[in-house]
Amino acid sequence: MKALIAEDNDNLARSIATTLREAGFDVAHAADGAQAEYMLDQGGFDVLLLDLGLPELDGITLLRRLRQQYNRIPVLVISARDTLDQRILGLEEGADDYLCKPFSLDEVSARARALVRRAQHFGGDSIQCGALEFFPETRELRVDATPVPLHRRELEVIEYLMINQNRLVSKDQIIDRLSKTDEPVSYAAVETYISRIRKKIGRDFGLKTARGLGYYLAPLDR
Amino acid sequence: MLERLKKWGPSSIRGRLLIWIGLPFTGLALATLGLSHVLLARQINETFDDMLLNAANRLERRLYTVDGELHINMHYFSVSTLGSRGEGKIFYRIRDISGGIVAGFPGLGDPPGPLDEPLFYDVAYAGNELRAVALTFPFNRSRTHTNIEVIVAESKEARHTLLNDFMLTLSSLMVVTGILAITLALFAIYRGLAPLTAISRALGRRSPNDLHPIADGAPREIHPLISSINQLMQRIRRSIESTQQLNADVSHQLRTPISELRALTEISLKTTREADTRANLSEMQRIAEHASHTVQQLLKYAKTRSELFDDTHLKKVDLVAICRQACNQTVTAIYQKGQELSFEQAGQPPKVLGDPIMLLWMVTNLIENASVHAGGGHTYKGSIDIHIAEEAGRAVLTVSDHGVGVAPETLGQLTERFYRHNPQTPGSGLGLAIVEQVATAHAATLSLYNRADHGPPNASGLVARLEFPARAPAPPGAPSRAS
Repeated sequence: MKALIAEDNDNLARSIATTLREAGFDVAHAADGAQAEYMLDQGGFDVLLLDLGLPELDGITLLRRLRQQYNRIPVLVISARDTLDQRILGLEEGADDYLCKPFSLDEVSARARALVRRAQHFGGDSIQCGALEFFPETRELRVDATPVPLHRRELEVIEYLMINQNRLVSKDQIIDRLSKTDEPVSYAAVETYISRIRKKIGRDFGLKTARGLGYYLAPLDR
Repeated sequence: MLERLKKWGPSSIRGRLLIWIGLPFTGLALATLGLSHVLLARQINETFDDMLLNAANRLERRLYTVDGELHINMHYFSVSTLGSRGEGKIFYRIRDISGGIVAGFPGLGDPPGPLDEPLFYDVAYAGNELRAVALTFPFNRSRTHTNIEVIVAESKEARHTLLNDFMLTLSSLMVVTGILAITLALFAIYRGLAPLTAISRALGRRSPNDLHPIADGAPREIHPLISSINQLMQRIRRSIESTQQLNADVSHQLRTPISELRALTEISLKTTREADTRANLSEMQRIAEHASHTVQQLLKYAKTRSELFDDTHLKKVDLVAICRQACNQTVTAIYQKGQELSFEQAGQPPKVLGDPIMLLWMVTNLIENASVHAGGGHTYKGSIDIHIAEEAGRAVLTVSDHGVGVAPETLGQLTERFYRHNPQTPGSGLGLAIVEQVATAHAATLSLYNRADHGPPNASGLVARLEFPARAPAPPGAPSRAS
């Protein structure tokens, strides 16, 4: 996984780079917008961390140009501005996620990983969540390296939850996901899949039910 | 300036006009009455004096001589004979200049001057204020040739009565005219002040944050007032803009260094093994996190201040969506602490007219407040319930926990700025103050109470309940401007 950090503040750039390297990224750094654009033209990045207040070429303009060139690289915007206008602007201009300063480094790395995970979830890399590991190519879930026999739909549900770990996933989102490949399913069916997944894994793996909201999967602290 | 105005009369223009019109006119009316009194008195006096003189002259015919001796026939001499109006008393005295008293009241006294021509004078007799006329005439009958002096005096009641009647009529007339004049003046004042009333009504209808200039079209006299108000509004707008700019500057200039500090501390903490340094670093990390949280809360607090709240850009907001968004934003922190979130929707709550970002801050602040404070001195492990319902056409939002609750006597202080219910727990002391400000800006009422107060007595935890107004207020803007 390769990340480009476009950030003019040296301390922040260095800290984010260190954290991302620990999370398994190859990291490149651009100190201004023009340099970032040049490096993106060379290609090969899986995620861009973009500060909006860049010198030479500001973040919004850079983002707009990228999207005009149909460059779909996942972008995590970092900004000191926090109003909703800015947020909408960031997302409408094609940002995939948005973080306000000051942020925690763990949050940056979690969001960057989530972006890559979502962008690649049809690709070959496995997805991890604590003791769980999902292999998209063989459609297999392993818990502590032991395969768990799940049915096709159960696998789709757990894959979707793992792609969206650390986020709330509503039943509607799961239904949307399942209905892409199959007949529409009901809320009750979703609940059944979840309870079967829980039973088959047989131990707490960090999946919580949020009443009225959906499900929340986060890796358990070990 | 106000002090000076107070010296000059009441503080309302209507009152002042009334006084400035009414006082001179009353003075004028009183002067007129006084003058009329003097003139009338003189006129009446002259008329009555003429009649008195007439009466005195007529006495002459009643004199006759018997054997050279003067007599008077007073059989038919009466007040009416004298030509008076039949009121009051008549006194007379007839005297032969060369001899003695012929008839009448000797005590009437002598006239105060020579009697070359009839003399009028005031005299007091037997307790009566009298008006008297004295005259002399030669008397030549048969052998008698002498000068006769006649004094006739009448009491003044008739004159006073007549004068009083006149004055009463005149005064009544003036009072009626005065009342009519004041009514007319009041009407004129009302009509004259109508443009001012229109402006104040237009200003009153405005939302407090509508600082657009007042439209023109008012009478020339109040143009200076309008332009002063408009200048004032412009100054306020500039001051608000500069405050907003300051907020943005503070936001940007503080956020980046705090981010750096926080990031560097986090990185150092990962690479350092030495126990003392680690302890210091984690304290620094805690402080940096607290500072970043406080800066963000202060900015939110400043932005939700009512004087900076711009209600001209409100839109219809779906509170259900806002609640879900708030849950999404807070879910990681909540579940990391071992707490749970639950959301329940009853009925279809109406949309509210509001600012979505502030409403989002409000809900996230309520959730975070419950998450941090529900456990009292300990970490809360339980559920935070968000409930949204429709009650009698209103959207009602509650955020509640099942924690230790709050002592009833401190409930009222929770929304005070920098009040910390649990000083040992982290927090900026602004969370609920922000919530209250956002609620106020949306005309919603915030109530904080312990679950036991409005439910089963063994239930515990704090409930924050927000009631939004039944109908979204009309979008401010166009209708509030003066036309």
